Amino acid sequence: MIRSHSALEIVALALAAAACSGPPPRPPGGALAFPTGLGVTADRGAILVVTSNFDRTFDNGEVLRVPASLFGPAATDVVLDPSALTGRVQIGSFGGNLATSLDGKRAYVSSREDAALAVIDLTTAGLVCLDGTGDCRASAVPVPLGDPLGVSVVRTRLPGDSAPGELVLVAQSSPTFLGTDSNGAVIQSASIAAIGPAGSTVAAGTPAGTVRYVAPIGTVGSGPPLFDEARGVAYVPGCYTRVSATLVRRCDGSNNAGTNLLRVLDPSAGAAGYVGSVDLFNLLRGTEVAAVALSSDGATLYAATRSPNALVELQLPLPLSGTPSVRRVTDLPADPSALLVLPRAGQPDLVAVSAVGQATVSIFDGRSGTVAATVERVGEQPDAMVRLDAPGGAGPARLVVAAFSDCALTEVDVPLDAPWKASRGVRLVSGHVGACGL
Amino acid sequence: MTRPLRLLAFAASALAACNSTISAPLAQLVSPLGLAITQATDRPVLFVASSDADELKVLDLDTLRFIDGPMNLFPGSVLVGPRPSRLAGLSLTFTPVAGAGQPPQAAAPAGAVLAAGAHAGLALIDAADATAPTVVARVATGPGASADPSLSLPVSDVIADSLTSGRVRAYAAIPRTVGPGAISALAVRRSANGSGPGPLHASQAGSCLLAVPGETPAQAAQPLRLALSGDGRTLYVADSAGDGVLTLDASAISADAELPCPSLARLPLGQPTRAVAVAPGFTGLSGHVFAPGDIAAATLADGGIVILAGGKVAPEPGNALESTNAAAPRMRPLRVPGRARELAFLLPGTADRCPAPLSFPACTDVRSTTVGDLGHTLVLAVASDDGGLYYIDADERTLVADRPGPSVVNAPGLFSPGSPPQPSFMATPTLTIDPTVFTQGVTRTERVVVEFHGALPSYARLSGTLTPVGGALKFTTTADLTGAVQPAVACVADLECGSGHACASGQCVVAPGARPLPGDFVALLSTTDAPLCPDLAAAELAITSRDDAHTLSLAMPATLAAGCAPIGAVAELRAAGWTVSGSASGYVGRAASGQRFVASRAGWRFDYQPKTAPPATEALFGFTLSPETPPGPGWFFVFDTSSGESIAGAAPDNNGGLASALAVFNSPNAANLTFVAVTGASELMQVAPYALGTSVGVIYYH
Repeated sequence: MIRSHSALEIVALALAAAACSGPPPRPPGGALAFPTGLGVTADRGAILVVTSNFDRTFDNGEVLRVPASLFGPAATDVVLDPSALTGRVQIGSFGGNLATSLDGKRAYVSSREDAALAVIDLTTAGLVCLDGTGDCRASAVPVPLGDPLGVSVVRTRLPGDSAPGELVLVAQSSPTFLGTDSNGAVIQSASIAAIGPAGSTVAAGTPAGTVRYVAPIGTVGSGPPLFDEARGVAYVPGCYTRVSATLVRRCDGSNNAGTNLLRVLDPSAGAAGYVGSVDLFNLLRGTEVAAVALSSDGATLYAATRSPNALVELQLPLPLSGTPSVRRVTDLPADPSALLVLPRAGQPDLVAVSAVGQATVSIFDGRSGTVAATVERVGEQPDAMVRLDAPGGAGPARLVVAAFSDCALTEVDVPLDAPWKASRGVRLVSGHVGACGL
Repeated sequence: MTRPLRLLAFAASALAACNSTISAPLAQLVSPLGLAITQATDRPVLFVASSDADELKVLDLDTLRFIDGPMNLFPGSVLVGPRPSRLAGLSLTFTPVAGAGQPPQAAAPAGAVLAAGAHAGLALIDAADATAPTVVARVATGPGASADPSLSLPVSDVIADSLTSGRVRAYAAIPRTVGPGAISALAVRRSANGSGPGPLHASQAGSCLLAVPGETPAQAAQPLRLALSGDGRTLYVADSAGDGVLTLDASAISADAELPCPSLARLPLGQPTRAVAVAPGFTGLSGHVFAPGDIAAATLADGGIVILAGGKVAPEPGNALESTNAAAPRMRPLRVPGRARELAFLLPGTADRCPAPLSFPACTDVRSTTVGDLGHTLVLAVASDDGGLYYIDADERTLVADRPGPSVVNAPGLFSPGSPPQPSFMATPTLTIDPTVFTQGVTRTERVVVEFHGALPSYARLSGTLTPVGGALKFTTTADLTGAVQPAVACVADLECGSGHACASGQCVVAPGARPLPGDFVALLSTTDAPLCPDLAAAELAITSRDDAHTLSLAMPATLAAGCAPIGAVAELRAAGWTVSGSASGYVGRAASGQRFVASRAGWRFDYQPKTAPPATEALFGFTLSPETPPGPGWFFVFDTSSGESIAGAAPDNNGGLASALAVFNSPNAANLTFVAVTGASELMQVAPYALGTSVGVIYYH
């Protein structure tokens, strides 16, 4: 006779199953679990990869040190061999961007799960946290913001400081819910925290830095700030807004029509540093600046916008005053996500653009003002990019792009004198069955 | 877009269709870029480059429906390679082979399309059968590519002559990484296959370099857009790197060699250009008959639009377009909302299209939304970064617009600072608008803020250190204070920066050692904690001198103890009087209590008054402040101005701008039907200029 299980029995079975499975495991080596941030070591011998553990398969995220030798120009798929990694440390899940210190000796990585900034020592042969351990969660700096994602390193002098120093700006990707007004509309705010790093080492369990200030930047969340040292300001892209107390989404025409903010922050002015914003809505009927980058000569700010998908070139006066003027607008593939400037001697830059909606990397040629190439099959949701080779070399620029949904890293080669010949190289895929549904 | 995402998008669109916001059959366009009209054997068709889907879609111009694919569920598509961007329609014909004993057959249409994209060379699409267009060849383009296709280069634009025949000449714009760009001339022909169209044949017939004699490598041209005169001889090239527009004899390109283009000349316009268009022949307002190619238009890199007549910028209104008076001032660029991108001239109509009581020699009919039908002798369609389509009367050199005249929209109101600001009910001070100084075509639609002791742009955030030295308080900052007397407002050559100031490198600057204007002061926004120091946040300190580029001497506050250590501070520089800024104009200048202020600057003009020479003084607005001052810094007046211009045109029905391509279709049923690829909104906009403001004036294909 078949009988149905009672609800109590089902709950009991579920609890038993949970007890048997235990806590999620530490990621095994070679798991490129939803890569987000990328960096490169000073000698360009390896790239640093933030794995975000986005599906919570594991207990935590990681930063991996992946040798550059694993990449190459051949368009083949290579499974990441765990033994090939030359370093790995643990960080919290939902890691964000990675930025290296001005001297290249430390890496900073945000973790949204822990609301913290992990600090990693890059001076050793492998990777190690600033407190000498392999788990950076204990020494991570608590960030007094919800959802810290974007990370940027700036050199500035705070009021009263005797000399300029290094600050790490951590951006709040989704705004804080403050309540609702009498009409039920969400009241929200977002901020950027400035963290002063500690020395080269800290005692075990000691935070690797201190929060110097928190600067409000308005009502919508942001991506990683871009520091412009010549003008002493940081440009803050991104647009995330709260629909309700719990639901956050990117700004689009339905929930944020009428504004397309590129915000400007003076990191030296502390909590009063929010200078203002440039609203590109009237120009483009668009709603979001997704990413920004500075031209190699520092005179142009490239801003990738969504809805419409476009690369806006803004001419920057020195010093910055009033509204930067738009020099050129060029259409881009759907949903641009990150920009990487590729300087050329005596020529306007090339700009690589990853497009999460298209699974492509496009190459914009600043000389002709056109998209010279679109490289396909780089992996689903390509986002962060890093350059492997040193600028100024004779060969093509070698980029690596993190394909978030594919748990892969893909090389894209760009001949600087013939950008239309850009091509896909090695795609390094996760070596662990389990990550990304592999 | 990946296939699952596309299917999801289709499903979402289908659901949306149930709510009936879609006014045309589904097109499934994804970031449309290029447009081209050609004639299939049985109907005219419009090809649309759906760039993010790597395909072309085909609109039947007889039925205005996208042609179905084999399943009849989705629009058909032509896969052409990565990111198709620019298209050219080829007006090819074929002559059916007459059977034995039959009379010779008349030529019949069987068009084709050339497509450029993110790849080298061009794709050739056979469009004879509108229901099954096919890529039939790849054509190598660029110097040397005729002999060695591996030398083929990407194409930024492609255009074909409009002469209908079995053999068509097309031209491709080739940007190059090193040296000047190039032009490729292509020969495309179609043969007959019995009674039907035969195969297409295409090859590069020649190429040449855009190397203007005497120019340096730094001035090297990079072609972005092309336009061709009606007789197919003169090619106009919008130069995205050099200055202005190039012209050359396209018909003389015959050899594939790295030699300068024949009869190459440059028409300087002071900046690079984004697009160029050539007008058809027409009869002007004065009765002057213009031949095809006499008039052209160009979009400047900054979004301005200039009309070109007789090989130079046309004179200002008040002078006939055909005027040869060299002393007549040249027109300033016209500006549409957003920034102009692409251009296309409409086909002039006939005298009977002139709405009564107009009696022009001929009219192109554009209906203004509020006034009704308006006749124009030559009309230019303009696609803008904001996704909009706007019309310009090229003969008059004005926007097609209703002009009730600029005005102030609301009475100026005084507000107290705070969040949110509160309206004041005080009787004074007052701000009185001077209604006589508005200028048609200069005054903008914007919100103007006049703030007492307003912060000066560039000096709103100054981080530094306060140090007591003797009887003064020194404020040292890393910011450059050299221009602090006059804000570093962008200026043009004829902008008056104020006494003792000059316009240098685009900014108003002062000579070293100059002092801030009397009364300017520093407001402290925050200070750091320091031993023996009071909290100076919100203190306002008079400036006594500027010691050097980074240091100001301030009046010593009475509360500061003598032994107070250096204090970190964030400060801002505030004006002695009032600052004036507009939401569209940016920082305008300083105003003073008890005085009249007129905002006037060359370069703000965006339109002219039809048939009227512009006035000598061009002012945004003017007002007079009463002598009284408000209780403190931050009090401000607000008023709104209106340009008084309602520009004829159409806007996309979705967010996301970038109107990227234009195509104008004429048939016995519709005059100058204007198609616009709105890339950011992923839609095709169909605009009937004679029906704007009616239910059939604008149709959207998504």
